[in-house]
Amino acid sequence: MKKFFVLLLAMLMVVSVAACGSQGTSSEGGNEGEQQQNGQGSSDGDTVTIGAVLPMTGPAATFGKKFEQAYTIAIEKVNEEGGINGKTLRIIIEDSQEKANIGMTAAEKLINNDEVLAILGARASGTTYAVAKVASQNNMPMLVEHGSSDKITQSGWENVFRLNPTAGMYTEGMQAFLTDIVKPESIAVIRVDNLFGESVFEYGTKKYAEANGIEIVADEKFQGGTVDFKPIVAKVKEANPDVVVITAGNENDAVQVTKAFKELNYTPKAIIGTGAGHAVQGFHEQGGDLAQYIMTTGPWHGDKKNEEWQWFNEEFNKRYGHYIGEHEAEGYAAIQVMADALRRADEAGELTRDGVMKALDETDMDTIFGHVKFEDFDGYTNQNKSVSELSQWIDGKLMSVYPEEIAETEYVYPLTPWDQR
Amino acid sequence: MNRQKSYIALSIVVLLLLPLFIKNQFLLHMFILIFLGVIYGQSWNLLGGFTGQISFGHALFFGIGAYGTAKFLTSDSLSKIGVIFNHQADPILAIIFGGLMTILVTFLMGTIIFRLSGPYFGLGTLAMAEIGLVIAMNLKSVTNGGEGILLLDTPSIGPFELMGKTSFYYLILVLMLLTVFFVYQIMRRKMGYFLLAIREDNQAAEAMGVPTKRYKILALMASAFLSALAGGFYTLYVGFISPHDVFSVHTSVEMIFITIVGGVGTLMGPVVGAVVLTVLSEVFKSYFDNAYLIVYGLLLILVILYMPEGIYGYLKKKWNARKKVMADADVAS
Amino acid sequence: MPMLQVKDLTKQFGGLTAVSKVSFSVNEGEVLGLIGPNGAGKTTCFNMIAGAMNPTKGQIEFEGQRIDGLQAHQISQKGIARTFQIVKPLRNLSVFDNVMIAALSKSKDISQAREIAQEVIDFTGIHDLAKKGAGELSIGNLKRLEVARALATLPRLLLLDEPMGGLNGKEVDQAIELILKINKSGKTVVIIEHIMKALMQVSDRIVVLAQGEKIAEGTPEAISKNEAVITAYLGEEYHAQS
Repeated sequence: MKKFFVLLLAMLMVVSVAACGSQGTSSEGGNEGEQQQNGQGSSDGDTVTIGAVLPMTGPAATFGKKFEQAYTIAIEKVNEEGGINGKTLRIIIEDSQEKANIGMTAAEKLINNDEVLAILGARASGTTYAVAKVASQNNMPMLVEHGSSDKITQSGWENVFRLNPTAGMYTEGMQAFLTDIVKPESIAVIRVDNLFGESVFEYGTKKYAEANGIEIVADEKFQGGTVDFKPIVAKVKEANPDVVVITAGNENDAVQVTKAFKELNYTPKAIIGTGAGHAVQGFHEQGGDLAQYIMTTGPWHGDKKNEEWQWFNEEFNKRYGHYIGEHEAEGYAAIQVMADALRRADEAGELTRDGVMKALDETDMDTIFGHVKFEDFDGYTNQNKSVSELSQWIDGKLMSVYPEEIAETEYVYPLTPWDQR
Repeated sequence: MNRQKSYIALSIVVLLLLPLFIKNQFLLHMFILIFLGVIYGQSWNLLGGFTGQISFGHALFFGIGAYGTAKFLTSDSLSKIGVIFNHQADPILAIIFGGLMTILVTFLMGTIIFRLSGPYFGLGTLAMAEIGLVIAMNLKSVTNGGEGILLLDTPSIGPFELMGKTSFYYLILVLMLLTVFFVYQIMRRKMGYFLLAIREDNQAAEAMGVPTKRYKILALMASAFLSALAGGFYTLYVGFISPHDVFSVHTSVEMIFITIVGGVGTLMGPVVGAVVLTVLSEVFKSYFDNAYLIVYGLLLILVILYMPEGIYGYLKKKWNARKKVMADADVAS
Repeated sequence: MPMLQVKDLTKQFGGLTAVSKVSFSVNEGEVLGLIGPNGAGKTTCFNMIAGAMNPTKGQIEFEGQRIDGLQAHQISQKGIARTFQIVKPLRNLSVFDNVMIAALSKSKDISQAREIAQEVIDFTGIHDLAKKGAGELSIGNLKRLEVARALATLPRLLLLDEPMGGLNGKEVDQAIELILKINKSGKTVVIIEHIMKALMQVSDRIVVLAQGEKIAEGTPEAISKNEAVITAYLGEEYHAQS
């Protein structure tokens, strides 16, 4: 029994050492580990550290990678231009595996061991909730740049700021297009069965359809990773809607569902995705011609007339081999907003969590993602009224097509039938 | 016997005093995860390790516990029950409610699932957990579907608001100690011996007069109840649950790993397993970048290959061997 | 009234009839031998009596009550215990715990079960092995453990399925001694055994099965002289042994 006790004490020590050990490696700097460094080894006094919780492993790792790449370019630029009033900005990224509880652990570590000044993240809405909860318990400023569930900024958390539109807002570009151009009588919905799919539907498509007397003639849910969408698309074809709205969690689902439309030779007036799988380059890479003229509604991919946007787009393509989409624009803009807030907090002599929170609250600036200002309205708190747009895949490129003020090119409507291509 | 008791008491005192000395919240969080892991392991071990019924679907019970708890706290009609205690015991009642829901489900599934044995039992439980996932996804009126349930209000137990890490630390510490004590009590009683007999040889146990089916269902209920406690705590602690988070096969697998790495069929095994796996996954995260899950997986394979009795089982064997050598030396001198 | 009465017992596995309309009875206090060539249906008979299998047809009465269709543990509660031809020890438990668990189902608590187990262990002469793991035992001791475990359920009728299979000469003698001792202590015994010499020595009566049917019944002397038995079964083995 003495052994039992010795064992217990040994375990306690191991846990403590391990926990403190991970603290050591994180603050030390260097290139190893999960840390994304900006390079120049600098002492703590010259460094400003922020953290991010992202899916770096697991099925959503591709998205985590996009943000990591966008941060890297953005932070390099911030530091080249003088950093945070002379201090070097760096970011530590912790893996969430896109699971709420792992994301929570990651946030605890960033807040307590790495002593970051603010947190970015955390991609999926569920994980973002859990991270935001930890952040609010620790009075830690958090900037959400992608998690889109409406509730994140409906929970009254004063420390949580959101750059990107909510899921409900995702559909605003589509709503304008439907109201102005299509004037549909019926809509069918095919959506991935998760928090994102649900939020887009509840706060976006359904709310819009009900308000405008448009009938939802089919509402089909599917599990991410479904291979054969023919039964679902056949049902939708049967219902014969004017427009089909599809929420796909990733590019695989987006490609597979489109394939089923082609195989059943079914062409509604428009097929409109809601960001995510429809808005990443992989949709065209995997789907090829299938992607042609498919539309998607979602966060603005940024102000393409903005010089910094153009620079970032080219720089990103040079380094990582493809042009930017919503994720990359969000990631870059998030660093722009953070750097701005950190600078102002520093100038006010309050480079603390409270100071950063106050500075974020007063944010009023232009980014490559458009103008950013965190406002309280309609039950939301600290929510940026960011622009949602409708874009369309045209010859392998995702082009903004609606609203007209931000359109890059003319939309192609109605959708060309599969057999006439 | 008294020495044993005093060591256990001392251990508990150490664990009770720990938050007074630990100011690092992340470290407290790690302890919370470890204690939660101990419950995971004890729960699975009761059915898989002691009764020999290898389940791949314990996420089902975890999930029902998690949803039961969330439901109790968010539904208007259920939370009326809390009035009895002036809403000062809501989290406890919620966890118990989740546990009772789970027991109800196991009672219904018990008679069917134990028609299967061996690998078929494992697959059957896996299928049941998948059914749980599908129901949770589609029964929107109860589970809120894929959107999940978010707990916005902070519940309290008496004067203790479940807000900071410390209150959660004590809640899970108590739950863990109760769990270990519960399993210990089962295993030293008639039921425990019957479960061991069932594990060793179902037919022999029957011939020895053990009503195997009844005891298997009892073991399933007890085991499921413990998983439900873990699920209930998870809901309170993380504050957000969705079907893919709590009914995920990952949860089932984690329970199995904690037990196997620690030591199947021993009371201390899940404790050791929970500490080792929780700590290692954090350590590996610091050293192996995004490949840490691969390293973690390799380690699991190595342990299973070279220490099939688990770390605790391995150490126990070594200790016993040393004791024997020392005893022999005593005789010789 | 006989203690155990088996009437028209039949067991079919798919199209195969393993046991066909077998009837016999066991009187209280006797040792009944059950013999027959491999595949004669002896163990299947045991399985049906002990509740491990349900009969396809026929009935089984124990002490005047129908017991066919009951589950094995219920039959154990009624007072029938069995051993297995292929031993089924609880390998990772000690010999003592093996016996103690068997006693538990008839005891009100663990301490009473311990007492019963201790008595049975002394009775069967395995107390030197009590602390050993059941998995470490030799086949001779495993067979003895099977018997001890059966006795610990405090049966009135004991079904022994080849308790001497695989034993050496000395062990066979010890087994015979134990069976006679058990019988003397007031328990009724039905025994399946291939070692004829031993069987003749312990049995009061013998029932012979061949290809699922009963072909003879009688005292050991009568059976050894029965022409049908000799041709069907005893022939090769009996002569081969002498």
